[in-house]
Amino acid sequence: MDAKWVIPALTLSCGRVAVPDGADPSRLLDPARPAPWAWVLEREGADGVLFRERSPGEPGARCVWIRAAAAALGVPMALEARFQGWADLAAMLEAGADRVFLAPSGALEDPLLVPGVRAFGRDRVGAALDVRLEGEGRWRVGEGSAARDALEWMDELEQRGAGALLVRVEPEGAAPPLFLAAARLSLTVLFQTAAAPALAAEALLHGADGVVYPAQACPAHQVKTALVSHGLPMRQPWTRETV
Amino acid sequence: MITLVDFGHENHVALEGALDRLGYTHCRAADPDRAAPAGPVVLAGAGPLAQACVDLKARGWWRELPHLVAEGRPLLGVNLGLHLLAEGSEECPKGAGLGLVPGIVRRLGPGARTPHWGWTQVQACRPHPMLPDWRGGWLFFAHSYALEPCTETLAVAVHGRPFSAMECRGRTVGLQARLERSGAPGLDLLARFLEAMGAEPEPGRGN
Repeated sequence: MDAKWVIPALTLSCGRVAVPDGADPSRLLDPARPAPWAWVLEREGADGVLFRERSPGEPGARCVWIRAAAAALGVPMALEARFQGWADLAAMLEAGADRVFLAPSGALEDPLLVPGVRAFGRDRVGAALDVRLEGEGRWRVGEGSAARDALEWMDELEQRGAGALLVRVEPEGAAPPLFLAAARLSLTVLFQTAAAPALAAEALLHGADGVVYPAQACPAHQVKTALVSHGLPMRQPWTRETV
Repeated sequence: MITLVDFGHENHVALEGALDRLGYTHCRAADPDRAAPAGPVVLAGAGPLAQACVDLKARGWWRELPHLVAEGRPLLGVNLGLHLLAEGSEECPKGAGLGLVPGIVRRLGPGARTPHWGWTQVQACRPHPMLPDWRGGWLFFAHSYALEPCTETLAVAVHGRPFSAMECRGRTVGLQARLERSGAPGLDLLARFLEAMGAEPEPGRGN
């Protein structure tokens, strides 16, 4: 039996965690350093940690924080980012990220997907996408002339070799039927929410393999407690302290 | 000292972080001449099998690993490392494996999400001196192919079909699960395997 993923996400800018207003940083001495966050999140029951990079910063420094976080973590580490080229993508994986998600762009196409999969394997390269609902059952991705049907695009990403999809849906309430429709895909599909992660239960019940949510919202064990009440399978034990 | 085979197909950072937390000393060895004189050898990898075979051969490890095993050196294959230890794989049907663990690696599915990237419940098949009281647990997997289980298999998991999660032949151990990424239970298992293979944590190291 496979467990559903509960993955807290941290947004970074130049290797520093962007702690939003109102978040409780009391869990850490320096709330801007990624590695201590990773350590804490794992102990709070995270099944993995996602770093969403908004501004990459200097390449050498980037490898340093990724290496530090990857070494500190005892659960899988993923990175969602825009990569400057092949060498950049390879450097991040070699620095210790278990998986990278190619960040979405309006143009959709990412020339790094196919060579990335060929070199590192499907289990290490995935794609992120922003899906929006346009009318009854019409999910779209991309902008302008590049916009297209979201489900067709998800099929195409799978055919190109993506090993997992990280999906944001606007509005989030439309997510369950999208994941139901995407259940035919044979790759891992994660639902990235900006709202209370406990509300992701419907998406998970409809076929999403996991939920990714802002780490500062609440500890992963709280999310799991809420989700398990819906009958969703969670890995045991949830936290290091219970081992 | 634990030797990590460095052949360009592994996430050494994750494994080294786990070994550091457990207090083991380790070194990367790009070729057999750089291996530590004693202690377990770890062959961990991820990604396409065909290129891994090419690189393992180019660095001299393909020829050396069977010699090390014959000399009684403990060997731990992890993830792709287990596939390399097997007799062959559907992923690379024209080439044979090292044959240090019997069995053929086959593609997961049909009907299961592939790659299998997830936390899956693992069940011990039988007691083993390396894990006398271990019954099973949730471990992390990242793979599209897996070794077929047999009567000697130590532990199995199911993803579309049952597959081997742990193998042990003498002092050669093969793990499909990524123990270094399986949280505290994985770290505990890794320590138990390494201890059974004769590795000793350095006093004062680790946390």
